[in-house]
Amino acid sequence: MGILNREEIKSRMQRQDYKERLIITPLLSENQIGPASIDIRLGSTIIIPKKTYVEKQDITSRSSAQQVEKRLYERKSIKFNSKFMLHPNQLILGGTFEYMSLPFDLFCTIMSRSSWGRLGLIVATAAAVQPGFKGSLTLELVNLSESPIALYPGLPIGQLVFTDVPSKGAKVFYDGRYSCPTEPELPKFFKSQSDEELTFWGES
Amino acid sequence: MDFSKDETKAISSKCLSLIARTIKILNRIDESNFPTLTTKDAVSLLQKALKWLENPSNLESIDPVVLYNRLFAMQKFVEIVEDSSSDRISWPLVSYCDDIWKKLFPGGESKIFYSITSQHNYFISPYSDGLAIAMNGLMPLSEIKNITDNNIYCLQLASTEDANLQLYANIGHEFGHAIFYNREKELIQSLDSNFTNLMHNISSDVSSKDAANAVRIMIRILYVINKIATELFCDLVGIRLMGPAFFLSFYELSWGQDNSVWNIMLSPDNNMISAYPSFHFRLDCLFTFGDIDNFCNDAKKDFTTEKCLSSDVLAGCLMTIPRDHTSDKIAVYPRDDQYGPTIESTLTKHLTDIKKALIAFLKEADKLMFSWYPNVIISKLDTAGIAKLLLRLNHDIPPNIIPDTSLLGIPASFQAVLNASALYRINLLVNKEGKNVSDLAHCMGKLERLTAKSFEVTYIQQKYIEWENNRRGGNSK
Repeated sequence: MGILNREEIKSRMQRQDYKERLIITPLLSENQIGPASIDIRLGSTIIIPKKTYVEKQDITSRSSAQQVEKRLYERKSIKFNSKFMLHPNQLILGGTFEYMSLPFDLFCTIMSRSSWGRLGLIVATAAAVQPGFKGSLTLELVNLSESPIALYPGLPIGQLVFTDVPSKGAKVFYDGRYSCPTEPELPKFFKSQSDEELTFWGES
Repeated sequence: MDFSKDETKAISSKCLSLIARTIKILNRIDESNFPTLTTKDAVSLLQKALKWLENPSNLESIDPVVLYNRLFAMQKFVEIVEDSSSDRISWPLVSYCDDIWKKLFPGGESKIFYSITSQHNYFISPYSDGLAIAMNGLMPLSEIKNITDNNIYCLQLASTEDANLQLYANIGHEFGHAIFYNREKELIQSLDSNFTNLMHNISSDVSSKDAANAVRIMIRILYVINKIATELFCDLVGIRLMGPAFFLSFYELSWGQDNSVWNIMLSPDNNMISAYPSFHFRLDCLFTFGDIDNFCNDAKKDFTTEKCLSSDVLAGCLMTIPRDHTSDKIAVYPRDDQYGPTIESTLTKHLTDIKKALIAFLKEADKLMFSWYPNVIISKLDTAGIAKLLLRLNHDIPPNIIPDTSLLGIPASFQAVLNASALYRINLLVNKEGKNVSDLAHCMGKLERLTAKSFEVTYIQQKYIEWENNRRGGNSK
C-alpha cells in the first residue's frame, strides 16, 4: 500500500476494463500528471452561499437541514474565458472540470496546489474520495488572503493524490449520497440512514 | 380636465413615460450575463428606436394611440433581451450553436443571439425584422432601415433546456429558417422548377371549381406550398447539421399528434399562412435524406464490436419508426374559411404529385447544401466513435472523448455527443422493463448530467487544443 507515482497512475489509466480503470476526464495535457499526483481544474459551475433569513444552520434538525439546501445557496454558471471574483474570507463550492471514476482499490485525496495556497486559496476541506466514486468533485474554495482572487473555469487549482487500497476479500464500492455528480453538490444531510443519528445530537 | 378633448394628451404623456421606463429597463440589463455579444447589438437596436421616439419633434407626427399600442407590442422585444442571460441558458450549448452559426454565415451577414421561451420547444425569429414591423408607420422607412440595418435573429431556447437535451437537435431545424431566408432566391428557383407542371394542373383544377376566385385561391396555394417546402427544407438542415439525433428528436415531437395530417392554417394576411406536412411524411424524408438505413447498418456492426448497447434493439428502433404516409390527409383551417374547401379538395387530389415534387426539391436543396456548407454538414456519422461514447455512458462516464492510444483521447464533436446521448436515451426508454419510475428518472437524470458535462468539457478541450496548436506554431493568444 502506498501513493501512486506517475507511471503507476498512467498504468491505472490505461487498463482495458472500465471497472478497473482510473478515469480522470478530460485531461487537457499529459503534463497534468505530476511525479505523484494529477492536477485538476476548476469547472464552470459554482455554488455561492448567500446571507439569508434562515435563522441558523442547524443540521441536526431535518426540516432546518432541508431549508439550508433551498435557501442558503445560489448556483451560477461561469462562461468559458469569464471570471468569478472570490473575495477575502468568501467560501464557494466549485465542481472540478474533470470527471473521475475511481476503481475499487484506489483511494484519493484532494489537495491544494502550493502556488495557489500561497495566494491564500484553499481548495478542499473535505479531501477524501472513496474507492468506487464516480463524478466531478466538489471543492470548497476559500480565499484566506486580503485581496480578491480571479477564478476562471479551467484553471488548474488543485491536485489529486492516489493511494492503493488492499483489495483482499469483498470489493466494496462507494455507494454514497453523491451519485455521478457533474456539478458541485450541496450538502446532503438526511440522505443516508447514518444521518438519522444527527437528530440524537440536536436540541430535543 | 375634459377627457373628451384631453384623452389624446393623456395618452401622449403616458407614451412618454413608457418610453422613458423602457429605456431605463434596457439600461439596467446586466451585459456581463449576455450569452454572446450579439445580445448587446439587439439591445442597441431597441435603444436606437426608443431614442428616436423620445425626440419631441419626431413624436409630433405620430398618432399617440398607435404609438401607445406599439410601445406595448415592443415590450416583448424588451423581455426577450432581458431573458438573454447566461444564468438561464447553458453556455456550452450557446457556444456550440454560435460556432455552427458562424460557419453558416461566415461573413457576419446575419447575427444571432439567444434567449429563452416558456414553450417546450425552440424557435428562431428574425428579431431585427420583427422590430422593423413594429416600427412601421411610426417612423420613416429610411429611419427604420437605418436602425434595423443589422440583421439579427433570436433563437429562443426552452427555459428548462438542461432537462430537454433531446430537443437540442431541433436547433438545426431552426437554423434552417435563417438559411432559407438568406438563400431564398436559389431555393425558390428550385422549388418553382419542380412545381411548374404541377401548378399548371392545380390551377386548371381550381379554375374548374371556382373560376371567379381562382386567382385568390392559387395565391393562397402558392403560399401553402412555399411554407410546406420551407418546413421540409428546415428538416433537411436539421438532419444535415445534427444527424440521426434530429430524426429521433423529431419523432419524439410527433408523439401524441395526428401524424398523418397536413395541417394548413389560412389567414386573411397571406404572410401569416402556416402549413406543415404530416409527421409521417417528414419522418420519411428525414429517414431518406438522413441515410438512416445505412447508419443503422453501420451502427449494428460497430455497436456489436464494442458491446456497448443492445445493438439489435437500437437499430430496430430507428428502422421501425412509423413513417408510412400513404393514407395522409389534408386539413385546412379555419373550417369556415371561404376558400378552405376548394384548397383542401384540390391539394388532397394532387397530394401524391405534391409529395413527388417536394422530394425532387429536397434532392436539389440537399445538393445545394453540400455546395454551400461543405464543412458544416454531416454526410456520414462515425458510428465507431459513437459506439465508444455509448460504452462510456454504459459505465456512467461522460461521452466527452473518443478514447485512443493516448491518455487524452480525442474530444468528441457536438454532434457525436448529441447522437450518442440520443441513442442511449431511446435505448433507456424502450428497455425500461424492470425499472420503476424512480429508477428510470434516475437513469434519465444521470444521462442528462453526463451529456451536459460532455458539452462543457469538450468545448473547452477543443479550444485548448486550438490554442496549444497555435502556440506551438508561434501564435499564442
